[in-house]
Amino acid sequence: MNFDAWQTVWICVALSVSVLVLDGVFAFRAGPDKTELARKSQRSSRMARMGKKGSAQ
Amino acid sequence: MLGQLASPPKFHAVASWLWVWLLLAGVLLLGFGLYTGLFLAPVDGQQGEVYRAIYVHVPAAWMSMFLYLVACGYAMLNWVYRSDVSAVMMRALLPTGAWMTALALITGALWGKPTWGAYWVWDARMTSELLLLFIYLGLIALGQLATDPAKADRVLAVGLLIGAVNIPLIYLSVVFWNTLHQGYSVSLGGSRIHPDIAMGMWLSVLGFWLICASTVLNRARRLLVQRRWR
Repeated sequence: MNFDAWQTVWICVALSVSVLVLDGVFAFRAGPDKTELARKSQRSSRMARMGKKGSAQ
Repeated sequence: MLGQLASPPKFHAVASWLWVWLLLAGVLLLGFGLYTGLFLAPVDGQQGEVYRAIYVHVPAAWMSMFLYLVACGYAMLNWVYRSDVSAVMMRALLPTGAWMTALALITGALWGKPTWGAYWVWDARMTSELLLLFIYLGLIALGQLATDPAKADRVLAVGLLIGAVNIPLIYLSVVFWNTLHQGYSVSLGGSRIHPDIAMGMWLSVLGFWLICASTVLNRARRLLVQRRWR
């Protein structure tokens, strides 16, 4: 397959932007955010408290 | 100040706002660099319009080597101090480095076809850059092999430092061997690129650098949370 000069340049630019975006998106999947983690632990402790109350009644 | 950044809570706090600002600055600079390079820079006398691939190929190729060297710096810090921050930084740099290496190889191949008549030749520069991609992929796999994170960090640090031999090989390949790839256009002594063409390239390099730094920091702070607070 042969591309002309401008097609080659635009393919290179589009690829580069896609790679930068993909790498950025994958970075979010590397691990949890601290606030997400705090929210999760708050929710699980609230559930645990509700469970305790329920069993006391 | 830099010493304080070795403390995980401090590093996490700084990285959590810094990555956003680096990303914004990087996107702006890259956008401006590409606009300057693609629309304002003059046509090259020898290559015509296709030379404009430098505005993404050169930043990607430089980042591929630069990120590896930074990871080696963190590997040495990790070897000495065994800190969590150096370990997550070392790990966070590898995927971005691998992406940049793949991008440099693909954009180089696309540029090679109209310029040299082939997408790929087993030229010293291209072969050593391909070897860098394999090193990155091998190190990413190596970092996930051991179940004990501290042991995995040590193995990764050694692997990184051994693989560093390839970086001067890539850089000097155009001097050691008679390659199809062109020699230095930019060195410590100065640049042989016309200023009207170089302007966009420097802006793109800075844009790539800031975007990569932002991605690495975002990944590192998440790896840190996973390692310490989960």
